[in-house]
Amino acid sequence: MIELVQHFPALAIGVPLAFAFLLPLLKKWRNSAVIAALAALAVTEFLALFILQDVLQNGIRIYSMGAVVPGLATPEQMAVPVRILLSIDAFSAFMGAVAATIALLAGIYSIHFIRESHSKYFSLLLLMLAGALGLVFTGDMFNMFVFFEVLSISSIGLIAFWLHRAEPVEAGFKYLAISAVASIFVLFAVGLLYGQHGVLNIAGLSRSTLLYGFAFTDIIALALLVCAFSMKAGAAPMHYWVPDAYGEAPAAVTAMLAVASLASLYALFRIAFTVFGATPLIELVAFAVIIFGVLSLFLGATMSLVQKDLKRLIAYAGISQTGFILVALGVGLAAIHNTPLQPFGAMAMEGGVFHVINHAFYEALLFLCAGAVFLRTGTKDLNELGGLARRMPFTAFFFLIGGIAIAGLPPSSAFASKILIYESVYFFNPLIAVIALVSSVLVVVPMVKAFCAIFLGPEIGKFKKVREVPGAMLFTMLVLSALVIIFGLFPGAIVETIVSPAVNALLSQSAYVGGVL
Amino acid sequence: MLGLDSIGAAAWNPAVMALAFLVLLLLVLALRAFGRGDFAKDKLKTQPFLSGNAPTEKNRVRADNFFWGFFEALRPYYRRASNVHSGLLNDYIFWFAFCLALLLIALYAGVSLWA
Repeated sequence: MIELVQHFPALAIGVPLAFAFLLPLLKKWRNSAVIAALAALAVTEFLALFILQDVLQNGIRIYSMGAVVPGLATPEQMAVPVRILLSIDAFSAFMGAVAATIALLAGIYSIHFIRESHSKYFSLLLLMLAGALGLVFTGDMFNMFVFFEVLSISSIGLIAFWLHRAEPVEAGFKYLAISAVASIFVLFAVGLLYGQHGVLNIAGLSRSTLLYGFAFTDIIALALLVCAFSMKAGAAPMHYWVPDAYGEAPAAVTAMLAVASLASLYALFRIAFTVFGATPLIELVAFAVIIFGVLSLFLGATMSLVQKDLKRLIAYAGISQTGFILVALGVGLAAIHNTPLQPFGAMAMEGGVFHVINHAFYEALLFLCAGAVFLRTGTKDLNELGGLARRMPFTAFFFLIGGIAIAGLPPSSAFASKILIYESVYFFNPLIAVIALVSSVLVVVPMVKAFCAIFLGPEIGKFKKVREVPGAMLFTMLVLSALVIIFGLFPGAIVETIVSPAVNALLSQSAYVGGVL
Repeated sequence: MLGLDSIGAAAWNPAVMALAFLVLLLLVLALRAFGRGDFAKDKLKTQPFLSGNAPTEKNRVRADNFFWGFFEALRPYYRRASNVHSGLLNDYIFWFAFCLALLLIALYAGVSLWA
């Protein structure tokens, strides 16, 4: 058993990857394909949770692919790791657990939501999970690029999944274009870093910047990486693809796209904190991240108000929530070399990292509710919908919980994470805290609008035969709602157990280097 | 587990919060019980009031009607913001290039000033 346990990091990526290629063989057997996909998602969830628990107990975990001793990063007589290396600290494990949880729920939801091409759909979903887990678990820059590509390519396939409609194909093409641009610049930056430092390993790069500082090529590489990952995270003013892609993808895929955006944020902050954390460059990057965050907060909230398409409305509201994470982690970056501000920086980061998990849960919940409405009514147009609370009371209730959470109202978990962000950011700059607060209030408006337009008002004739969605779909929404409320009732315990270790892992550059090399 | 839970400067007790929710729920149900039980269901007086017009499928409050005054007041902002959200891929890439150029200049200028 111990032998097998040490291979869990590789298996967490390998299981979804293997099943992704296995599922097309089960194309003719729909039920077998679905069962195999769900089994793979469940096993991956178990592995991700096990790794999280293990890392929280024993600290950073490394895994050298193909090595006789997987826990040994550097082979004999080598100064730096040369193999594909996975290095999982509390932040990586935290992100991995979030991705695996959302993927499992998305898979269960999809059993009834997807009516055709199951093997193709689940194959791409598993590939997406493998890409997300690889991105957050990898310990070197080149594999970060590779998994970034795996994540992007599978996402494109899923966004354009409904090929019989023009809009998903257009959204998929737009996502393909921005993903290609982002990937090219990431690869260029990786090349520059390799040329400058002679290593691709993240810990190796980190040690190099700690010992020798930075060069001009690092400036270019850092700018390229920050912009590429910010665009893929949906940060304003590079957020324009988000409503297109989120609006047209199947609902469960949209939940996974939110995870993909969070994985891009992970990459951004892994590079900023771990690779360049010791350099003075990071303070300038922090201000750029905060500006992206403030723009995302305001633009996301205000543009959400005018949307007529339910999923685009949620997508814009989600952009404003990404703004919260960017502002919080940006303040953490800005405070990294400022001793008086460091406690507030750490607190902001706790708020930001806590908001990552909250954002993943309530954003997924809202998109799944939107998918349920679309499945039963065949429309996402808010002007056409109305009076559905009579026919879909559970979906209405879950949407209400999601709306309360995205607006940051108690007793939802987002209330707790936003309180942490307001409180800490206020000490850094009160104006940013005020903008964050106003944006959060503004997000209430589209949620009230969407809830009233979909679920309240007189019943509409063509929706009189609408039924509640199947139990499996309701179950996923129930789980997400329960998580949102439980995390909101016990935020202190959640922060102490999983959020603080993740923040400490991100802040401690030397611990990461020491743990790997 | 049900003790005082705190985060930042905020603190609350989950048990008290759940109890408060229960009390509010009971209060709402009690208020509802005071209502008249002899109202005529499916008559006009149980329908929403829309300036005296009977609410029908065509004559109802749609999503576009919500917060109308708010959008009217902010019309100049929304006109500009909508123009920027053109839906054109060229614009998407332009904003990426724009942000990248600005960040490169800012980083280079910052480093030059330090030096």
